[in-house]
Amino acid sequence: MNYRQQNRPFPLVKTLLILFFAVAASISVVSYYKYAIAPPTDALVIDQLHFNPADTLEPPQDADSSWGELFLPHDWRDAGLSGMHGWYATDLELNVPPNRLWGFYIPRITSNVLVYINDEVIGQGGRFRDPVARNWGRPLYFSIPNGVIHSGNNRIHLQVKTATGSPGYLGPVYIGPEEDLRPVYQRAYRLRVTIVESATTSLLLVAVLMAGLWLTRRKDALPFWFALMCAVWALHNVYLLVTEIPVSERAWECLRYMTLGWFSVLLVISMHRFLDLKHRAIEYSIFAIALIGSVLLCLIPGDEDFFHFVNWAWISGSLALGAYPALRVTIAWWRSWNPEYLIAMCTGLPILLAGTHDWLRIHGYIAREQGYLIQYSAPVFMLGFTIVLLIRYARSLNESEALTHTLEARVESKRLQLESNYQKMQALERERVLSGERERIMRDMHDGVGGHLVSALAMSDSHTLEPKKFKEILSNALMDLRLMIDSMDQTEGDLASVLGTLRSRLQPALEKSGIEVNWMVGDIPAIATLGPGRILQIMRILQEAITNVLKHSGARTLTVTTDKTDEIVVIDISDNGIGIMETDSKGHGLQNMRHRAKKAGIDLKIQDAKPGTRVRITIFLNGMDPQ
Amino acid sequence: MSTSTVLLVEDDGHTRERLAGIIEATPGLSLLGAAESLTSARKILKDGLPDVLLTDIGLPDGSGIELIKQVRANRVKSEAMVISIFGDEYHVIAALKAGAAGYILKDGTTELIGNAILQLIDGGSPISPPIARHLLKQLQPEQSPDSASNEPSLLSAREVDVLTAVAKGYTYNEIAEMLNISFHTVSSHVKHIYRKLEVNSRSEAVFEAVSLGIISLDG
Repeated sequence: MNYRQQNRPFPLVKTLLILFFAVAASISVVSYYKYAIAPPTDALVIDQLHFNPADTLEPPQDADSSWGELFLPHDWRDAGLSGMHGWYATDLELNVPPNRLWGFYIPRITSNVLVYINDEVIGQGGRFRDPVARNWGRPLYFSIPNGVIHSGNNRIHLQVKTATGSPGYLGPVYIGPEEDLRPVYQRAYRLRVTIVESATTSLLLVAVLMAGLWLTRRKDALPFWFALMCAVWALHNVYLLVTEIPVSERAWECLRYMTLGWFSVLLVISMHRFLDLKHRAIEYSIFAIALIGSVLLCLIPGDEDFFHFVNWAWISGSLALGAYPALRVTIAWWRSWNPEYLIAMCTGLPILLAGTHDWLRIHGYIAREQGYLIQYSAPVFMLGFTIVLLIRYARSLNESEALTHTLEARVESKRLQLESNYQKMQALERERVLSGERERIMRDMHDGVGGHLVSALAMSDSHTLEPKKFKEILSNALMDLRLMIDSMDQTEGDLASVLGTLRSRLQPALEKSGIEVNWMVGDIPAIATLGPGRILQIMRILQEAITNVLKHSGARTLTVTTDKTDEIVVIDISDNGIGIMETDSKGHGLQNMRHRAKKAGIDLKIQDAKPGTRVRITIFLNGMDPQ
Repeated sequence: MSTSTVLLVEDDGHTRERLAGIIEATPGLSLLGAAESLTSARKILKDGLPDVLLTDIGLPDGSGIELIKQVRANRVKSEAMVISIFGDEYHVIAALKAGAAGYILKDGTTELIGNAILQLIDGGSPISPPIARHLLKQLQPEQSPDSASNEPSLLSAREVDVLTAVAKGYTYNEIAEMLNISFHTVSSHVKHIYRKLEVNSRSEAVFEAVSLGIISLDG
């Protein structure tokens, strides 16, 4: 996100806040560091001794010519000492013997020490055999048993042994009452051991959390590289914390420098991912160089060549590599003013500073009384980076929530749109059905009642008005109107009821004719596909058929039967009259019936039954006549 | 044979005259009066109730249904019939619910109309297939699993048989033969069914009035 381009005012406030916290934190950390390593004030400081670089189990005789006087701190590298053993000796004059418990405090020693007072061993910093215990990461303190120190002259001897590649070093040592010395020792111990231990544990924890995050979201590689980086750094801290190493000195040193170098490599990769930079060529080159360097680290035979390579090529390379991501993130921040980058910058800077400090210390530009600092820079960076990742995570969560809301709103608006479309379509469909039905009713009225009334009107105008014929036309008009009303009533497609209704309408005519009716209407299933329009056509066909029997057939019986199968319903109207061929009505009336049958989608057969005629209509249960 | 009095209410003059003629011509019937509106019909009713009320529904000053209710409420023995052009479901069923026990078609023949009134006095009722179909629906609710328990059929099995046959178009004579009963029994079954419809709709009206708070059963 480019805040500078967006020209928003708040990143400036954020930037200032972050800088303020960075400065405040730096001041606090430096103050605490100074307080924690401050030397004791109420104790006797021993800083003037005699030194003998002899490799003996017992202290060399005072007469030995190798003894020489010197002042602490004593750096064997500065003194040009290449040996790995040495003895220090001094005298302590006391007028009165101590009346309480005393202690011996050694703030800084490389690598191990054995303390004698008046030829009695009062303490040692671990294993003296090879590989010797490494105490340069922590202070040492020994209680002096009562009675060891007495009034007058007390002889103090310190036997020192160094590890390969680490020139001997002894800072000022202190002797005095335990109640004064021990708190000073504990302060230093907390700073140099406890804090580093806690930081290491935290690093491992963060590594596990980030690895878990990556496992659940593989497409984002940043947590993976960050987890790896934290794990490598934790491993590097182990080097500082372990005094009695479990492997050879050379293997242990390899571990130290490998973790240092690969940390820088992982820092570069992490920063590339963090800044969304795609410089694969740079990454592959760095990987290749680091791999070659690692192989060299493992293969260089002599100790001298090894440490020469390590101190000049490997550490310098790692430091230079560490400067690259710092530069990158600074540039990124300067371009975008993104507070995330500032946090990464502020928390990453201590690594670079501490690394530079340690490089200068290794190469003798800074006194060795100052310990290494690199181990303290990791937790700061880790904290900053974790904060940034959490901010990112929270922001992407917010964004996805906002996106979900937008999506929901859009889905809802689409749903409403669809609903209104559906309603419009339904209204249109209703309108279509209604207008279709209107048209049908108008057509049916035109065909039936309308036609009858027009012909009645025409007859009333003419001079040849026949009352009987006139009445018949009007009766027909009324009959057709009743059939229309009856057909509208038949909404369930119940054909038996249709036949029943028709009979009741024709009953007066049937009775008048004196014809015998055989009514044999059985159970017929309701046919849902029969609407009022088709029912009216069926009624008209049946009416026409029955009227034909009454008027033209001369029959004595009329038989109406129904039958059904799973697919069809059959209605037969038969008589015992003169038969279809003999009647003169085959023209207009029959044509009309056929036309109606076609419109209603039913099958109509008019057969000469000998004697009489049989009209058979077939209605298909599953829709229209397939022909 | 004693004569039964008939009150005719019909607003169309020609039809009224024709129907009055039919009534007077039918042995056993005498015309109590012929009214053209609700008001004049009520005036006649003040002097006495007829044995049969024959009324149109659509009158200029109100509905003939009011008249049917009034007569049925005052004298249960009085019968009522509606005069209809089409014999269509909506008009006839409303009249049946109000207490009518049949209908006649305006263009019916003299014989048909006279016989229908006599049949009514004799304890029977005419019916048509569409009305039978409607009564079957109304009085015998479809046996669905939900309503089976709380909506028992109001019709007896025999009544259902009669209505089903009528709906298919069978005449009273054919039904009597099919069911091995007399014409008169078939006819009185139908009248009985009409009474059930009247009572049922009256109790429905009471139920509705109670639930609407119009009347109280405690008082």
